[in-house]
Amino acid sequence: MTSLVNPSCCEHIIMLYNNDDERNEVAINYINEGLKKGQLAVYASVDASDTSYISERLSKITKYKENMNKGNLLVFSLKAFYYRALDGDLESFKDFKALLEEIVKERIAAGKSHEVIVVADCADNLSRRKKFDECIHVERWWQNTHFEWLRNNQKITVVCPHPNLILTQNSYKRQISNQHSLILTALTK
Amino acid sequence: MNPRQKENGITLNKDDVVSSMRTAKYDTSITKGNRILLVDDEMDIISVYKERLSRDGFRVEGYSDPEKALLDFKPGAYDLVILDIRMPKMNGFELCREIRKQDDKVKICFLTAFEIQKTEFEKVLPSIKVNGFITKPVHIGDLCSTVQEVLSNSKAGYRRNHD
Repeated sequence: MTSLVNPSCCEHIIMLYNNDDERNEVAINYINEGLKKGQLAVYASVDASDTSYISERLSKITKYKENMNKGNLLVFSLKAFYYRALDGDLESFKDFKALLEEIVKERIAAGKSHEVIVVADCADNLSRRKKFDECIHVERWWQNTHFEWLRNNQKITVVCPHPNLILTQNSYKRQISNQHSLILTALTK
Repeated sequence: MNPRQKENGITLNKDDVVSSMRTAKYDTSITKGNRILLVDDEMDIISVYKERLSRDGFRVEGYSDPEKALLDFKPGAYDLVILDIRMPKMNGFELCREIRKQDDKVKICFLTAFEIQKTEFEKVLPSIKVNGFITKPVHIGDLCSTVQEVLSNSKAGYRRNHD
């Protein structure tokens, strides 16, 4: 798993997982690794407003309360993003991008690391529900945003988990993977 | 009017329009005369919000140019400032900081297409003192009560902690 959680900075990563446990474990590993490096870690999930579901995951994040209080960890709900993405509406993502960029500016001013790791599962939820065209629309937006961040020397890495089996069975694996800068496949223990 | 029109973050339902024309859902005597500065680069949003808020007694000034809004801003002139986030020349966060330099009492809220708790927002952006968020798309029939809520909640929120 080590090679998975230590990719070079500023990538837009598709992380293909084989089961839910693997997805959750890898997502948390990315968050913890980012926090260890002093990065801002953003856990952006469609399930973030589901208290019982998210609290179980948060408990696995290193010193999550302390990190949240210090502003090093942001848990962000993508529920509204998901429903708007189903209508092809990406306004929420654009506001989220503006928020992230402002946070980075603030961290630089405060002498903190300007590197950010974002684990976002909106497109994952679209894949799981076989909303592939909507998923591609979202991932294309992330990829364009990734290019913009690269051009502006903004060190933001975005990790997008996706269900390997569903994408393979529905022949969307290549198309969705192509909207990323790095393809990783989780290895079942 | 179509049963449902959605454009630029404004959602209009036929029922919303009818109900908002019939009666306000809160005591308008409390909000009557409250002065609001609305800054959004989309003129149609300003126009619709201004019309609806004015109908319930709010006094609204709208700007589509954030730099002009800042230039004309006068401390103590408003009870509430509503800011869009993404605007050309100067975004809502920057404008908020500049307004705060001149007026640390005025209540400020952001129009956002995402949901975030004020406490979480303050942890990641501690330099921005905001009183609340109005989440888009805004149902026009609920706009006044949402604004009223921000005005009421903020009295017990940011103001108490920071004064």
